[in-house]
Amino acid sequence: MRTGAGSRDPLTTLATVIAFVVLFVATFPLFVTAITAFNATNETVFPPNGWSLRWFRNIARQPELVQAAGFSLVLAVVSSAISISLGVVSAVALTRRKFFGRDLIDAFLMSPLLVPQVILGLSFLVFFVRVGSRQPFLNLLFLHVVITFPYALRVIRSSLTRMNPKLEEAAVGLGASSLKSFFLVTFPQMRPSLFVAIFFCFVVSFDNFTATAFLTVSGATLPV
Amino acid sequence: MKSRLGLLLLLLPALGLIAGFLTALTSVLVMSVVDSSGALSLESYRSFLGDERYMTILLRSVWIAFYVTVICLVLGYPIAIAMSRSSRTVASLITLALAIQFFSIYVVKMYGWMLILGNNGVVNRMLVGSGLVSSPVKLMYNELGVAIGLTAAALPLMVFPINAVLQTISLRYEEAALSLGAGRLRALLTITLPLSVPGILSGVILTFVFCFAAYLTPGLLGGGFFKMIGNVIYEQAVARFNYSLAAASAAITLVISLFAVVAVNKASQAFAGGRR
Amino acid sequence: MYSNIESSLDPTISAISALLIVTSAIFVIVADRIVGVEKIV
Repeated sequence: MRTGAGSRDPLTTLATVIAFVVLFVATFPLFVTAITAFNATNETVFPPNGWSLRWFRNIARQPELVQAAGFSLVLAVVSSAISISLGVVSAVALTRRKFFGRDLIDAFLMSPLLVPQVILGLSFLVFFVRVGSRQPFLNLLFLHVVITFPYALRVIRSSLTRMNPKLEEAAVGLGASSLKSFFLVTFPQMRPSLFVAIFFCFVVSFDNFTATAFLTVSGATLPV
Repeated sequence: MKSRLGLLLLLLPALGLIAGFLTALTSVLVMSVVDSSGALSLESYRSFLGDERYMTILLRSVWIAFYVTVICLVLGYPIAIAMSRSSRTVASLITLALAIQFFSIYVVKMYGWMLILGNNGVVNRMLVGSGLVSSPVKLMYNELGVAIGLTAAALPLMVFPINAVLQTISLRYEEAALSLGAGRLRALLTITLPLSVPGILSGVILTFVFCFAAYLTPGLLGGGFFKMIGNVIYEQAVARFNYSLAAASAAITLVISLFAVVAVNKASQAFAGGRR
Repeated sequence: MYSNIESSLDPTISAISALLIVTSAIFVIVADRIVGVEKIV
């Protein structure tokens, strides 16, 4: 919808200037953080007191941080894989045809997005204490799948809605089984949205702090 | 695959997952209204609502979420305008910068702000170094620090939905108004702004709920000196094992969040109705 | 990381943060190249 005409408009120029200033301020802490990592002394000051790489080497000397990073990585990969498989299957079911209660089921499946992270965390804490589940990895996996699944579903479903169902029907008409037509016709078209879903699920899981903090002792995942 | 039963079978795993989550959520809500013996009791609500400290924290959480939402809207709207209207290169540069900020690890973002706002941080070193102040100004471990951190963390939540709506609004409407003699600002305020209200409202909901129930930002930039309701829930549950008080705080937080969602949706319906 | 930051500001955390910031930035830029950044925001 961009016509290009707007770029000569003084208001757009003003908005662009504001955008650059605000985004500079908003991203400045990230620059500062990265630069303070090169300090020669043990102070986190900017500009640094001299330069060194020893803090990067020091990461390797803190096994609990390396371990936490590994744990977060595995958790993010496994939970994303589960969420995306569930997302594909559910999105196919939700977009194949209209059926009674479809919108209701849709709202039901998206409901974790409406609930603030602290409440998600507390709910799972209370639930696992009640059930007596003492499996830190499995508990966190359940939480992270609940948190990431709605993102996977939303992205994949919207790509399926935009797709032309006639293509798949044509494949079936030409003699392909419906499973075969799914993998030959629908799946390739889904690929960009799958990539977006993987990106979202991975980042949301790896980055999750608030809900995760309720279920782990400090230091178990990297952000916590 | 075509049959109803097939569809249901496909949906079953996801339905089970979310049902598990809702069971957990319900168990918290139930916990808030029963006492230790399991009998119906509003004791935890009484101890929350009757305690001045908790009420102060609750009201301040609503207030800070409210004004941070307003600040995000004021800063975010021009960004969304710039994203949807400047030249392709500039627009994608802005989008990329905002996306990188948004997808950075939340803890890292807040850590960065601590390096900026701390007593030995960038701002204070500049102020003291230039001789403007003799001793560092307190910029964090107080409300100011928390408000700055929340604004930075929530800004993309405001910009993205507004941008999504602005992308669908044709500039031709504004051009028509311009050709009829309206000024640029007037055209923006009377044509584009009303059309972008749905985006503004979803940005407002996301920002408000995110800020109101924040835990990490007040935890780091408030440093225990400025607490919000999220910190109360966490402390009661994880440090004090006082699940019933945590559950009551969580229920109150959930009700206020959902109330905000419903109120904003009603406002948007009233707005749509008023324009018809 | 949170528990480290809460107790003291330490350049080791800056170093991990620096790696994470660069990684996220690369993620976003790669995503922009593959599907376009407007798809992920």
